[in-house]
Amino acid sequence: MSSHRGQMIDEALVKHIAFLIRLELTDAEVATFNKQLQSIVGYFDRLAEVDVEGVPPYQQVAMGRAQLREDAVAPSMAREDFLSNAPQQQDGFVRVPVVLGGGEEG
Amino acid sequence: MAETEYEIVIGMEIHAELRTASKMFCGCPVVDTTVAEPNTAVCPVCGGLPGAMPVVNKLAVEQAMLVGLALNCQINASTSFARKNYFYPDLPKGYQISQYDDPIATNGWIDVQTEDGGNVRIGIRRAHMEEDTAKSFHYSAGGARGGAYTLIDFNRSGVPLLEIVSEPDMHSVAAAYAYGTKIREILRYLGVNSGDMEKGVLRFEANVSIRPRGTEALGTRTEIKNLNSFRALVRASEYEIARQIEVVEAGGTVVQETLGWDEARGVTVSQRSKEHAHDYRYFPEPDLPPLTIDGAWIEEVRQALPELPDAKYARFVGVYGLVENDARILVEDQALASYFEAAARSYGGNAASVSKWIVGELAYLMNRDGVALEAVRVTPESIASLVKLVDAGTVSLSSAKDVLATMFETGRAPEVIVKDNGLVQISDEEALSQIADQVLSDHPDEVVAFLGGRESLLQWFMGQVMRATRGRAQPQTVLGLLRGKLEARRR
Repeated sequence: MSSHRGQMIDEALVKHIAFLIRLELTDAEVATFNKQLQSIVGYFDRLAEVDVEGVPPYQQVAMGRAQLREDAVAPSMAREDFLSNAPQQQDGFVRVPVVLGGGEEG
Repeated sequence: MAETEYEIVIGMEIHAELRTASKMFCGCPVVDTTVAEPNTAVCPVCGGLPGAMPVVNKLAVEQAMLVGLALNCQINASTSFARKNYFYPDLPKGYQISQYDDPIATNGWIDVQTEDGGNVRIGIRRAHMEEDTAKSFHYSAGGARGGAYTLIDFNRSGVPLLEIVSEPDMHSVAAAYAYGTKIREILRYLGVNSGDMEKGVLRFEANVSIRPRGTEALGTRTEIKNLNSFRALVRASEYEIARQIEVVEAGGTVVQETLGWDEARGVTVSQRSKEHAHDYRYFPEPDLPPLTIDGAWIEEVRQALPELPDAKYARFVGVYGLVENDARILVEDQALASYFEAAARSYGGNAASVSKWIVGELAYLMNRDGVALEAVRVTPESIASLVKLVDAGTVSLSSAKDVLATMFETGRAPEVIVKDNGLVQISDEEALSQIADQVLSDHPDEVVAFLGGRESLLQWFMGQVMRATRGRAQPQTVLGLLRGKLEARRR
């Protein structure tokens, strides 16, 4: 599903991923994560070497009707508890910096 | 080049909140977000707290199946959830649980009626389930609290949402409007969405492109997001088509982008132009296994399908013999259609006259006083009785309108009103003959004028008789009597 399947990790990709999750990285951090991500992805290359000839693909156990939830209301959290997780709040809302636009990739 | 040399191509995505008591993946109540106190219907699941696990709402799935069936879609035997990843504060988890590869419903169609009375078949590519996002309120800089900021209400986060994606089969703004109207009507018939666009429970997106007429390849499309009214759909689409034609005419090319509609300025505005902003990195939702939908379940849901607008329309015209306009007005509102059917059953005869009273006089009174059908005091049975009184000649047509107005105000039965107010129509020829004689002898000048050729005075005499009887005279009888008496004077 991912458009990055089979893609090699390099510094440009690390920067792109950092942008997608809005992390600011120093050049030193980019170098560190580049190395770490390369070694993680490297393990998957070893998986590709395993001979799976004749082994059926893993199927996630499916759920049916019985596993679904009836449409019944359950209690929500107390608002102050929920808001206590937010760095900023105002008038019962979570307050965040302005977020219009998609941001710029650095 | 003139505008007509381009063909318009529009596809639509409609986001419809489903009508459940609880959210898509948790038990938080679905509240009216225009009224409820912010952040009072939030829990760890829809608030995106770590470790919380989603559990699918069965009713939401069944409502999605119902819509799929109503839109002539295939319901897929296996359907799965996927994470759509993007960074925005209205999405507390950093992803939206949606569907990607195998949505619940695919490959459907509906017919829509265009203004010229024709039918256009619009393909439905897919309908997929997802969760709604939180609501953001943007405040610009310069207020008492300093710089620009955004306030977020998570009450809407996790509300079940169905996204219905059409094929780009609409070739006019009118067709897009007709399609949106039809989908709204179907959703309301199914009882899965109130259709109340002011509450934000139904939102449109239009994918618009143009191409030289006669060519096959699709032009570059732009996507106009968050159209929250039919007016916005029409205005934004018209604006965007004109803008694209202008770009092409000037020798430029249309850039594929996401646009917002600025209602106040009446223009579309670019929202995200960078390609990577659309990098949603979909992957299967690890917290939810694929959902198997067996044939028995589909059949069970199919049994719950109500009669849909097209079928009802065909039946009203075919079985009750209604004129097309009346049938269309009744079908637009399921409750009004039911009201009509109850009245038609009670009436028993040719129901076309009953529909005329409902679509005409009753609708007029409702509009005039701003009364909704639920609050109307005239029962279907009593409106049927009124039409019978008119048929039997007990009350004249013009008196009957007054009777209905009284019924509307008091809820009293028509027979009682007619009797109490002395409105019983005078159809006794002898009585009417005397009154007609009186009118003619009271107005000798007009009689002379009539005989001299002013034929239109016949209606005036008629009016005099009506006045003398306070509208109770049987018009056909009076007309015949007056004609006879005037002709007799000619000799």
